[in-house]
Formats: sequence, structure tokens, C-alpha cells
Amino acid sequence: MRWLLLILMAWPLCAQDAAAVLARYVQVTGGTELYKRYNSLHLFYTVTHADKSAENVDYFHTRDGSTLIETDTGTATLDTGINEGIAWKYSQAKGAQILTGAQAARLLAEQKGFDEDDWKLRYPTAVRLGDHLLLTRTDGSTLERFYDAKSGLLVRQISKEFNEAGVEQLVTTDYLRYDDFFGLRRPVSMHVKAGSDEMSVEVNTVTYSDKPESGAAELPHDVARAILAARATKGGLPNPLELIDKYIAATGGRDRYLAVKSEVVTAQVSLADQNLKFSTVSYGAGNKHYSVSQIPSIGKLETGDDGVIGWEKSVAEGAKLRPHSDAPEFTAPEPVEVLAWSDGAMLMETVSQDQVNGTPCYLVRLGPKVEYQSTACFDVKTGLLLRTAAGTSQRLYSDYRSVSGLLVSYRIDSTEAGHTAKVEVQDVQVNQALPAGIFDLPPDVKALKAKRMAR
Amino acid sequence: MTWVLAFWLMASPAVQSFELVWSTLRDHYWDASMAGLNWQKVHDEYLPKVEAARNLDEARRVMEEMIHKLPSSHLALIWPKGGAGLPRPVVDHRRLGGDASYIRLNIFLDPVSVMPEFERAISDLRNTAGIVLDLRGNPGGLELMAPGIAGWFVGDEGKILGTMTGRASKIDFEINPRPEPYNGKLAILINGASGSTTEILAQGLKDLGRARLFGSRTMGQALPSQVIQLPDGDRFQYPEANYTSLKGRVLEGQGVEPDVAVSDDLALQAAVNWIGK
Repeated sequence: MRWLLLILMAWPLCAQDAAAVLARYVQVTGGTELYKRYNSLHLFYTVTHADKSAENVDYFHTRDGSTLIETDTGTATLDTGINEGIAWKYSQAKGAQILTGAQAARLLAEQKGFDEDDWKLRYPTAVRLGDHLLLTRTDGSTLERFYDAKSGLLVRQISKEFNEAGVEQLVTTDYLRYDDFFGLRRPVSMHVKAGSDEMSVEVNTVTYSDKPESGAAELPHDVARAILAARATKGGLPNPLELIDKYIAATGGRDRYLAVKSEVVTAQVSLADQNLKFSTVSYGAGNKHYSVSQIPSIGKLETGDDGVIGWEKSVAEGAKLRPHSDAPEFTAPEPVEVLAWSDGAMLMETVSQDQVNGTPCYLVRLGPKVEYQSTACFDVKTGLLLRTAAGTSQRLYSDYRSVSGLLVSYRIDSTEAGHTAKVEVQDVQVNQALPAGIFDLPPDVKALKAKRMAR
Repeated sequence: MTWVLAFWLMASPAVQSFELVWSTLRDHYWDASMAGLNWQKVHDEYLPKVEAARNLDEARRVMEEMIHKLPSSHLALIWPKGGAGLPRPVVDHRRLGGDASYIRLNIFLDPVSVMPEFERAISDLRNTAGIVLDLRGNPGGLELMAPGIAGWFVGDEGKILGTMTGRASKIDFEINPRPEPYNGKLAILINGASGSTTEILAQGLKDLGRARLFGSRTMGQALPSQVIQLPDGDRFQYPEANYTSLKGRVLEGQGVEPDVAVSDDLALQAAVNWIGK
């Protein structure tokens, strides 16, 4: 009995000891408060093998659990990722593959939580064994970690990982050098022994951001489709791709959508509660767009995207660069955007049946489960898009009219944080010549872009 | 619904305005607790008074009494009252003695003329060691001009002047850095007549460590607001969000504290001395 008592007492002590080591690492590398400030991480590193062959790796990880690891060997690329709890792989040669079994469980376990500050999530069990820690991951696999007693930094890790062929092998990583990024200390130089292969890993750039989005949300279309196919729909609701395809068919068909090379939409916007009216013109061609509104007392408001970078500009606020996926301010989704939905450019899920002004519609969530997710609601009967919503804004679409064989909404009732705007489309031109240079960046936006590139 | 619509059509413009003011506050006033008031009870108390009003002026007085039960700034009925009205925006700039320069902005309105003027001022004064931005007596105006002005003084992307928090939204006052911002010292002059947008700009740049503030405590009236049109022709301004600075300071009722407390007549010299150091 006495021995049993000793063992019972010893394990919690060891566990507390391990927790102290893990917590100290967080402390010496920046502290919990600073880690918690960030929501996404991008690492760019180079792996050089013993035979001098090298590969560049972009690693994106967000606090919501999305991960994208893009490996470029110079002759081929391989993507591995996690989206909404589904682990996948993609290569041009083999296409998309949803990972299952132990390999999927390992990847999910490795990427659990955001960073080292989430060690309690990553390692449900942690004990100290002599000079090192034994950590158990959520898939039951273990790894050994050695920390420098003086600095508190991690110096070696031994674990079992799956290689490209899906075979588990012993991996020893020695952490040689640390550097500071965004206030956090990270290992930037490692020596790795994986099975019989030895390699060096040099981290080139580290970017932390408080924004939840990152490149991890941009999936290869095949992967998005495979993930959609892998996900069971709720309660007999239709697959979101079926709904998008039905919408495209109801508004003219895929061929007509593909035939749209450019679009110019002119509309009148009324903000009734502020007794304000102004006109807006939106130009679109492929992944480029430009829209301009002349707002009384405020001046000109422009948004644009030259296919490389998005921007917006107002007299009052000046110019700023934006993620290039942002759509025009006041008009309905452009054909190119709808086609992107259909191509599975983002994760989607049919979440429920809803209503818009008494008309039943299927509610589809567009994009990953992040803070500002957007939704679309498609008429159960006609398949038409009745509503889109994102955050505190929503748009209701009605008065569909035929333009060059496409059905286009001529009335959009928009609500933004409780304020309403009525958008009445006055004219839609399809495949007409656009003004020369309409998508060119204005000089101040060009200067901002150059400044960003220089950094 | 039909009888509600019928009632609405029959009601006088003043009663329609009263209902719109009351329901707008119920739905959009920044503090969902309505400062602890029973808002329906307030409605029931004031509706008969508006109905009994003999003219629009009397109805306005009743509505003003009602809205001022809420303890916030930026609550006002706006109608043509005669008099001078809002001042015309003026951007005044010049070089001072030594290596300092000076810009005064009296109100944050009319960005179409003010922002190009401000750009010209920055361009003319770019080579001076420091700028004194005089916002004394500036009561505020269009909130989005604060981050717009800040963009001339902040070069890094991703910086904010603070956050406005409404019932359903939380929006950062994101600064758009200009391609060539001014990098010299920045002193901002403030006083008890500096309010709203001025306070957001001053506190925001102070928290970023970009500006040093000279003068006296500001008005403490910094709630982002909206103005809506009423059926009787008046307009109604109400606060729909609270402002919190980057370092967590709420300005409503507190104001911005200067780094250097100094009277109005000595503030400019104190700022120039600091620039000269």
C-alpha cells in the first residue's frame, strides 16, 4: 500500500513539473498575452536535404484550426491542409485526397490549437521523465522533448511522424537557433533526422497577424469539391453545390455565365433614413473590377481590383489596399463570383431551410467558419438567390430581369448594421467595350502597392 | 399590420417623428440597457404630451426632453434655428519660427475641400521638423475624417485610432497610411471645446505614441453617431456606438487628457518649444 501511495503522489508531481516547463517556454518566447493577440501565422522556410536538393515550404495556420502547408520542390508542388476538421492532400499529379485513419488523426493532432501557447490542447498528457518531457498528443502518439534548463527553450524533439509514402518513421529535430518575430521568439534553424534522411530547415520569414484570415482559406478547387463531397449533408438538405448549380441554371446556364467577359452595372442607391441618394457604376471583367460612387457631402468612393490586388479609396479616408477577393460595394454577385462558388472555390455547407419575406430558401454558409462568415439563401422552388449576408450586413435580391439571356436582380435591399439602402439597378451592359485603363490602379494606390512590395 | 399602417398614415408628422425617434433609440442606441430606463414606459409617458402639443415647436421640446433622459452626447433634434449654423471648414497652415510649422482645422466637415487642402498643407510643411496641429475649438464632424487625417502622420499599415462598438458591430478606426506620410514630430493642441472626431484623432494618435498633446482636457463627447431624416422635416442625431481608444480609454464623459497641461494662450509656444528640443 505504501508503494502505491508513492506512485499516486509521484505522477501528479511529474505532471505539474512538465506543465511548468511548457509554461516557461511560452513565457520565455513572448508570454501568453502576446501569443493570444495573434490569430494567424505564416512561415516560409527552406528544407535542404543531404543530397543538396531543396524545397520551399509555406505554412499557414489560423486560430480556427485551418492549416495549409504548400511544399514546392521546384518540379512539383504538394499541398497538405486541414479545413473544418477535415485533413487533405493535393498534388497536380494525384489530385485531391481526403486523409483518413491514423495519418489524418496525426495531422489533426499536430495542428491542434494555434501555437505553443495552446500546449494544454495539443498535449492532453505531459509528464517529466528525468531530463525530458513525454508528451501525448490527441491521437495517442507521443513525443519526447528536451528543454534547456537555463534558457527554457526547446532544444530537441523526438517523435514518430508519417512520411510522404504514409509510413511512420522516427524523427529527431534539433533546434539550433531562435529569432524574434512580432515580439515572439521562434526557432529559425533546425537539423532534422527523419528515418535515414537528414536535412536542415532554415526559416526565411515569419508573419503573425491578428486577422483571422490567411492563405489557408484559399483551397485548390479539387480539394474544396472533395471536402464538400466528403461531408454528409444535414437532415436531408441538398448539397450546396447542387443549389449553386440550380441557381446558375435558373439564371441562364453555365455556358451563358462563361460567355460573360465584361459587365457594367449602373444603379441608384437611396439611404432613406439619411435622405441621401447617389449613383454608382460598377465595371467587372474576369477577376478585375472597379466601382465608383459619388456621395453627396462625402465625395467620391471607389473600390477596385486589378486582378492582383484589391483597393478602396475615398476622399475622406484616403486609399488602402484590400484582400483582392472583395466584391463591388452595392451590386449583386458578379457571374465570375457565382462560377467560383460553383467551382468549389470555398468551403460551403447547407445549414438549414430559412425564409426571405415568406419565401422558403435554403441557407448556405460560404467560406470557413470564421468570425465574418457569409451566407446565401436560395429559393427552394425557383433556385434564385434571395439573400446574401455577412456579419451585420445583408442584401435581399428581387426583381429579376433578363439581360443578354441572363436573369439579373434589379432591386437590392441592403442592410448594414441596422441601416438600410435601396439599390435600384438602372442598366446592365454585358460584353460591351470598357473604358481604356478602367482597372488600372490610381497613382496613390500604385504607390501604396510599391511600398508594400518594397517591404 | 394594416391597422398599424393606417394609424401611421393618420398620425401627425410630429407624432410620426416622435415614434421614429423613440423606436430608433430603442433599436440602435449604443447602450442596449437604455441606461436602465424602462423605455416603453418612457414612450407611454411622452406620447400623450406630443399628441397634445399645439405646434411643432412644442412637440420638439417634448421630444428633446425625452431623448435627454439618456445620459449621452450626440443626442439632438436638428432643425433650421436661424443664426450662423455650422462654421465653414477652414484649413490654415503656415511656417512658424524655428523649424516648426502649424496647421489649424476648425471642423471635420466637407472632406471634398478639406482633404486636398490638408494634403497641400502637408506638402508645403513636409521639410519642417515638427507640425503643430491646432484642434482647439474643433467640435468634431465626420468621424471617417479622423483616420483619413491620421494617415498623413502614420506610415505603418494595420494601425487603428481605436474601436467603435455598437450593439451589432465592432468597427476599428483603421488608419490608411498615405503613400508619403509626414515623419516629423507632431504636437496636437486641444482644449475644452475640442470634441468628438477631434477627441478620437487626438487620443488615437496619443495611444500610438505618434503625437504629444498640449492644452487642456477635451469635451468628453465622443460617441460615433448617425443623423436620420424625420417625417416632420427635422433631422435627428443619435449615438449608435461607444468609442474606446487603442489603450482602452473610453472618452465619453472623460475627455482626452493632454500630455502637457497648459492654458490656451501658452499651448502653441509649449508645443513649439517641444518641437525645437
